[in-house]
Amino acid sequence: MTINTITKNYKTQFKGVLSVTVRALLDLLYPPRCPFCNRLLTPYDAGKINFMVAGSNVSGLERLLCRRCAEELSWIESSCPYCAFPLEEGKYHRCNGRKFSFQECCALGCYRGGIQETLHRFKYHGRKSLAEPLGKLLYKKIALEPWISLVEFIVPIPLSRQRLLQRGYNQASLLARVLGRELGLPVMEILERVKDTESQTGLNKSQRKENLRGAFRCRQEVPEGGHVLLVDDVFTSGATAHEASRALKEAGAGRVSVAVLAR
Amino acid sequence: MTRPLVLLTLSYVAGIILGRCFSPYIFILPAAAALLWALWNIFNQKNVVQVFIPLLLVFLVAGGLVYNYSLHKVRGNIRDYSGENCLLVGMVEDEPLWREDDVVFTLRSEKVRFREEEYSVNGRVRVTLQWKEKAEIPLDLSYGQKVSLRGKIYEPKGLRNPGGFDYQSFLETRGIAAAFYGPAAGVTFLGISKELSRLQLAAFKVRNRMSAVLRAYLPQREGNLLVGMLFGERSALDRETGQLFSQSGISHLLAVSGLHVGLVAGAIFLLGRRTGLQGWCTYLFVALLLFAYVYLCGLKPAAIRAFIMVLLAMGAVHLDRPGDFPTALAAAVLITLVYNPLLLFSVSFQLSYAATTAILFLTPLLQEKIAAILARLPFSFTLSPVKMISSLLAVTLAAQLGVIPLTAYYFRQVSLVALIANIFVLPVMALVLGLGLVSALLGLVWPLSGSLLNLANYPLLSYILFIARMFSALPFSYREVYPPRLTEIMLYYLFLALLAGGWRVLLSAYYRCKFRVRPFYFLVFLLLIALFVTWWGLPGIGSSTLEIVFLDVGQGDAIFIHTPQGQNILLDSGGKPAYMGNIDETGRLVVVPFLEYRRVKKLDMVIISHPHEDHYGGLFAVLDKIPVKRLVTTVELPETQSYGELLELAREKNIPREIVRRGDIFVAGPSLEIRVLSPPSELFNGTNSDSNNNSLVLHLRYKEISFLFTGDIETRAVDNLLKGEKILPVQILKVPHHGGYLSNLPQFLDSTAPRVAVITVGANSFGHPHPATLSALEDGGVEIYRTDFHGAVILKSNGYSWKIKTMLPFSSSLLINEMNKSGFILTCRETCSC
Repeated sequence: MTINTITKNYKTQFKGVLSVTVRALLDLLYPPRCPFCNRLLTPYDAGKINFMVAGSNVSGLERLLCRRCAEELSWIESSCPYCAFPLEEGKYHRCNGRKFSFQECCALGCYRGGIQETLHRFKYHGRKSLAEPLGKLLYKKIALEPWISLVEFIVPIPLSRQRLLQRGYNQASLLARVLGRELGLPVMEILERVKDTESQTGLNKSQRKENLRGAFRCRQEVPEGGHVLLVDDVFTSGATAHEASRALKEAGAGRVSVAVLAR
Repeated sequence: MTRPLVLLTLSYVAGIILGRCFSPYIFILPAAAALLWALWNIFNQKNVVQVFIPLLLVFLVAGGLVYNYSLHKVRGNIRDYSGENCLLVGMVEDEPLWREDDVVFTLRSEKVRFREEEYSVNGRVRVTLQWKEKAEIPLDLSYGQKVSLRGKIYEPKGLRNPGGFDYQSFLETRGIAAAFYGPAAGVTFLGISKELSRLQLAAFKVRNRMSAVLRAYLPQREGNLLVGMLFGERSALDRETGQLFSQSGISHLLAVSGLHVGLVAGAIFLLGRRTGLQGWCTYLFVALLLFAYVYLCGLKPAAIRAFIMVLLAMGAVHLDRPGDFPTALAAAVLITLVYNPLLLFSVSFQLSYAATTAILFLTPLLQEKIAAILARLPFSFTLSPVKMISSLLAVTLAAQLGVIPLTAYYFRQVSLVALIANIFVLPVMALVLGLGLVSALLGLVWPLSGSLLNLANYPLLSYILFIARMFSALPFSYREVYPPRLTEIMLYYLFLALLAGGWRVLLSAYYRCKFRVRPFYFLVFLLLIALFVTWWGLPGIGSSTLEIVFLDVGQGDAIFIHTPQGQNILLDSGGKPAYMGNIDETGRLVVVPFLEYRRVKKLDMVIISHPHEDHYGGLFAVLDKIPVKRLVTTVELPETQSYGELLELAREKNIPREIVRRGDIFVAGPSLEIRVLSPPSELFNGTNSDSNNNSLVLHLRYKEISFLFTGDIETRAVDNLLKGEKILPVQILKVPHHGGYLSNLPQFLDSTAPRVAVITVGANSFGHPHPATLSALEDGGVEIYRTDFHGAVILKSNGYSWKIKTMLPFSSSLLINEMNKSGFILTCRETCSC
């Protein structure tokens, strides 16, 4: 080990300890609440204190959600590997005969109940800070996928400029940043919307598909054959992810995986 | 465990309380141990709970240590020089408060010149300079000046009597160690001190300019009120107005509180938005300006609390984290108490936090209830002003519920109209504050326009004064109450906490844990508690204790006797000689507060041993406040004027007066009797002091214990006692005449053989107690208690043995040392008249 790497190690370690300390202090002043039920978290919801570990997973004090929500929320345990549709034991899913331009998809839970409320708060009520626990939860889920070690970089689904100005932030890119930090991968915001599309809500499947056709474009070339992780908040019909991944593939991506919070 | 900061703060506060109760040295070892334990757990990567528990201990111990350290620092060594004339040099540390014939300010002491020698000292001193002529007024006094003063340093009086006022602790919470009195003519200016802080100087200058602008065209009363409201400068307000405000329950307007800081913060925030600041810049802008305001107001605890809570609330928005009120409150407590742990014992701190906590937890509950009541009324109450009033009502009611026990304890009065008065005043108050602040700021650049704008405040201020006057004039506006006991205050808050949702927490905790109580045992438990509380609450029933309290009234006697049958007897009532100021003072400040603290509803007997002011002076106040059944005095002698007035007052109140002499006996119960031993039917005549020698000498016997109260008798009367029938051996002797010289004291001690001697004595010029008296007592092997060293002496007896408690802790070895010293220093005079 050269001196350079040692000092670098110390630096990262120091940075890690510092960020843990700052976060612990903030947790002291603003006790963390469960993002789903808004109850205060108890230490029994917590992991172990881990001050000495530096680098990517310094978040030793992380407390994500309360036990009750962890038990009660509608997590997806087994799902269709292509479209993340939750499956019952032993059943097989044909994605309703659709073909997607991405290879696989992974979702945290079903879009209802606690997750739905939380996503609403995250998207429409300006609670940016929810990206942190949600992103970490998503990380825990996709870390179990077999393809995760192959992913080379992360791309969030973009918002249209008008919507971005309205909301002030892109929830997908916030999530992607958290994922990037956790996975140690670069986040590249290379997609952009060419069409100012209408809101997807209230449209049926075919309308959605039509609405989005050719909506995305890649700003720059993707490394030839690269494996991209596409991040979004909700996956309903899959039209958005399909269009975005097509754009990515046109720009040179080899394989596209999708990670979403809710299906 | 969900709010770690709240627990940490509570444990820190508990540490401070422990630190006040116990010696600081016991904290050091546990401190080290707890710290090591915490660090060990952190480095061994234990879980949060395992790290948190030692951390709690660390905070507990830190509380005790920090409290004692800051107490030590505040006290300094200035008190060592108290009691004698000296020259004091130091820096003026605040703006002097000018009054009718004196000026009060705080001085940071540097040097004392004392008996031709100079000592360097530290510690803050509250200085009072008095003048007789206008020419003597030291008008140049202001912050930062180094001055030299001529006068006397006094050690402030601590809690010397039950139910009394702890002046020492009061000053210490303000960082002041000692008091100083001197003539205004004795001031010499030594230029500007090098230690002054420019920031503080600027703050004082700005505040003075603002005050001048605000006062400019307003009548004095309104002007003072406005300045008082805006800067919390209560001292400038006259006593009468202050009383009006406290009686109508709106005196919180005069303390810079959350309301003030919140309003100012809102104004600054809007200003910041207007100027186009964004994000963290707004935050910094508001924080800085708000701190300037809080600093300008003199960093009062309530203002600091509000400041911290506003900062945290804004931080929550910026960090996009959910804000948490209890945690914010706890953070404010913690920061304030780290800054000055002594503040925990200050009235303003306690009132401020009690009110805020109550508002926090009770308002939602009350609002619900009030809304429900309003909804049931026949006419529609959905109008927004009515809604506003109902929320105002809820907040005020919550705050009142929170502070009632404290106001009852400290001020001994409870305002009954506070609720309504506040509703009338609070909205106007917001207007006054806003207008006042704008005109003060405007006045900084253009004084005339500021003052003119401020004129708009005049009707509003008159309105507030009118409300205060009207509500305090109502017959039921306030009630004077006995101060509640500590246990009662705690029970009250416990009840309030249960009401405010504590029961839900307890219930859920009960459901969560596996322990189950059978209803039968629960009933038994409740019954036991009820029994215990009644037993505790009614100490008179079933007890057979005689209690005698020798109050510390300075130089003078005041002895309170509570018989086992529940009768209350007051033997003398303290007082100051007329030439030493107000004759009434001792009664008002010591005797009456004590009787109220003991909840004495009536006095069955008041005995005046002889007509000297230091024995009857306090009775004026007592007669005013507490009904008296009988007045017992010695035989009529040539009276002083004020004694005549006293007898006249007693006659007006229809109190029967009895004159007693040797041989009379009062029986206060089956096993308790009081006999009069002196004066004989033939009065002493031509002695050193006939009134002293003709003092009543009382012999009190309770079962097998005897007490002898000797008043102020001198040699002749003692001789007479020795010659007369044999006095049975007594166990407890009140030493005659404040320990003055008695040539036949050894014989007297031989014949009475007391085990305990109590000397009621204070600072005096007569050389009391006389060294010969002390040595005679010591030779006789008598245990000595002195009210000047021990404070009040409380003696309890069951008729066979006794227990003695003193208000001040004073070890006996120290006592003997002090006695020797005082014996050397004080010049002795054999006789005196008082």
